[in-house]
Amino acid sequence: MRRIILIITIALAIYSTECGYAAEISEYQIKAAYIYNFTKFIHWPDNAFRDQTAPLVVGVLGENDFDGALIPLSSKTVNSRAIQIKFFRTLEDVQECHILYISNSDTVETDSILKELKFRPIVTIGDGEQFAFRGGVIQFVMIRSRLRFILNLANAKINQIQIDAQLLSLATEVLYDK
Amino acid sequence: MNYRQYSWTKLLLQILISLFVMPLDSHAEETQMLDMDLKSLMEMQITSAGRKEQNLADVPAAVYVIHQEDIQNSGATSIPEVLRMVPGLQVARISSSKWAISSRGFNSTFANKLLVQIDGRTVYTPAYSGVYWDVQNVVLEDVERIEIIRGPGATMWGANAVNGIINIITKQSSDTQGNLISAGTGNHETVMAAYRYGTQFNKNTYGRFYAGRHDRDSFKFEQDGTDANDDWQMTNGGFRLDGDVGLNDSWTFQGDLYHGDNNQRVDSFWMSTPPYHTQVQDKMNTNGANLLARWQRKLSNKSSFNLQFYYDFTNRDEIYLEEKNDIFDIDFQYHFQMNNWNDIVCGLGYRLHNDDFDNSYQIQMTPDSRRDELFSAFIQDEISLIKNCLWLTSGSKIEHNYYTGFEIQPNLRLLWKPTAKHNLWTSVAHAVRTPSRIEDSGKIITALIPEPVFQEIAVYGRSNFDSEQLTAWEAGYRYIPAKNLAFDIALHYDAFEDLQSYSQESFFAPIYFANSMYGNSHGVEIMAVLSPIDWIEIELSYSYIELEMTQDGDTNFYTEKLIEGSSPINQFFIKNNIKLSKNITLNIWGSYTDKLAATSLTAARNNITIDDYFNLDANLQWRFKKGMVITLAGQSLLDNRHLEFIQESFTSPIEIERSIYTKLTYNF
Repeated sequence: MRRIILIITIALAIYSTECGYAAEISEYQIKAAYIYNFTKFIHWPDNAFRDQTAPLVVGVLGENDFDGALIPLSSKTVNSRAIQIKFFRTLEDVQECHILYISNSDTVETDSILKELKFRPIVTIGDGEQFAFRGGVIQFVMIRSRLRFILNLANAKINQIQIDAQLLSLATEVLYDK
Repeated sequence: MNYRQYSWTKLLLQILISLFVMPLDSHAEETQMLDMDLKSLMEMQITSAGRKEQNLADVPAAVYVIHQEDIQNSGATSIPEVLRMVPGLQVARISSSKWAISSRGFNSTFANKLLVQIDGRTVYTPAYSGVYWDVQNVVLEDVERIEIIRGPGATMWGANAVNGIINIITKQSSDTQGNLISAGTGNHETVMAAYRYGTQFNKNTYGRFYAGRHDRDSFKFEQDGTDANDDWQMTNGGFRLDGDVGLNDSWTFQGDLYHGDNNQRVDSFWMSTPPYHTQVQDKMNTNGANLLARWQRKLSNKSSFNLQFYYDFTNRDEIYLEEKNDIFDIDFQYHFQMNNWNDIVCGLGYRLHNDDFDNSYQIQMTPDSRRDELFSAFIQDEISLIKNCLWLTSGSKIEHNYYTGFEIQPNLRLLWKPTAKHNLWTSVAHAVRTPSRIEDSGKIITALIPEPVFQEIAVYGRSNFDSEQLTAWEAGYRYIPAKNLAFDIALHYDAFEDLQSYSQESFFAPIYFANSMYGNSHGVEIMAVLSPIDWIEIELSYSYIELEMTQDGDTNFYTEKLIEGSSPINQFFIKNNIKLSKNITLNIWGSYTDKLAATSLTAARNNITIDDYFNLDANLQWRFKKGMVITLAGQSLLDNRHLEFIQESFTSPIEIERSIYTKLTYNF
């Protein structure tokens, strides 16, 4: 009897380690992974960094919907630069920044924010409708419950940002010069 | 350390290991995700449950939604059995392969006031305007949700959406990727097997293919407990492709194919030559195929259109009638926000239907083949009277059908949402049930007197048979005080005119279908969902309906008694979902169905009633490995067998037996 209990327990233990419903993956975890991937395909002008060892700054403007999803990024490096996560409450707070996720990017203020950031070497990311058309660089779109993105190459160029062809090929849509 | 101690220490250790390994794993997952490449990220699915549901809670109508999770929890093995959970619906099983299903009364084998659609394809049979439930098969695991709207929905959906609409919506193929194997067996469900394979063709195109087989054993006759010989087998297969073109266009192309072999004993089979009357064991078969294409285009943030075509072929070969139907349907819908307060949907539709019958002496259609056309147009405007608080929806459908020409079906609905927790609505709507082929040009032999003078007693269709009319008044209230508590109540008063009955000039004169009955029904449906602890969810519902019918002139047919008696006055339902552990779920369904005073004309005449009954279904589901579920289920557990409904004619009462089955589902 004891042996049976033992076997059942072991079996259960083994199964329970294996089964575990992968904790449901949230939209923002995927967005964070996207942002990390983007950094590998984007080249900033040299003057965007203070020096050779300055970190690559990933910022969030406005509400932080990422929860803790961006935190794992800070343990990564890109082109031998460390990644630093910063949260900005207002546009004025945005100083040194390379990638900026703009929360609630379908409001009226989005236009003025994008206008303000227009000539700075910052890759603006948002999921608001028409974000890329309104002056953003990367817009997340949801297609069939999957997250995809639109690239506005014209906006990237104004910002002196180079984007690898590989990233362009994966975009759902690429907007060029008008 | 003796052996006993050792074993318990080890047990404890195992438990500890199993507890600790889990969180470690999920931590690893987070950083793992960062290492995924873009291509894999693009295929990650985001589950955003609840968004659509929220919209449906704001509909000014009596709506109930069955989600995939509910289907899975139900342990049901067919769509009719899934529908038993819906308040306000009358679901009764007649035999192994037949169900009588209706919304808000008028239940019968040939229930004709309910519109059923699978992915936008209407599945009713024009011969009698009802649904053959045995051939409505989908892979239940691939159903996204089933929306049930009680009451008329004729403005948007058209004729026959008189007392309700059932929309069965399968998942997009992007949501059914990979392999799914489902296999099971039981005393009644002898073979249950389904396989689905979902794949991605390129960045924007997904597809799935499925094949299934379902064998069900026979039940027993009520009279003597002998085998009713009503076993049946269904084999089906199909596909669905979904794709996107850019951001604004998406398309769907899907098709299904089935073949069924059903046994049934026909007790009353009439012939024009001796012995005139006999009992036959009918081996009938069903065949069907359909193809559907849909194109959706987003024109702007405020407008979109939807164009859909389908072709549907059905064939049913029963000893008393073989019917073939070809339906070609095209539907266009345009949705636009005219301004901040007007949200408009309008549409145009065309349906071409060809039928072809192989008549028997017992049932004849004259002519035996015919083509008919249906034209329709509708417009509906949702007017926001007070922003985010009060909405008025008004609209009308106008259609032209072969039998009665133009029909106008308007509705007016008001939704008031004083706060996010409260939701009140009311509506008035007019709907029609257009004539079916048999009411127009059929002939049914109900009896025959060979001596001394050969005399047929038959019911004839008549080309002046008109549409049945309904004016429905409804009101409802939804209250969601907390996340784990919700109430829903709906009241209705339905006034019917020109209902189908019969007329006869004199005793031996022919009997005709006639619009000679009128009446009303009133009822209430109450539902509550509560979750006292986060691992228990309970849903309770109560439905009450009473019908009062009046026959113009001749009352010898008992039609009014039949309509009044064929739906249970009181129905109770309780659904429990108990998560015993992370991987084990127990589901218990209990129900009470009131007695039925009459379910057929013969029963009405001879006072044959069906007793009220309690029912209990239960199942245990064990997720013993990722993607793998074992189900042990029992249905109709309280008695060996019980009677739910007696078919209109031709067959003897059959009792539904207790069913026990086990099933393995593997998703990989």
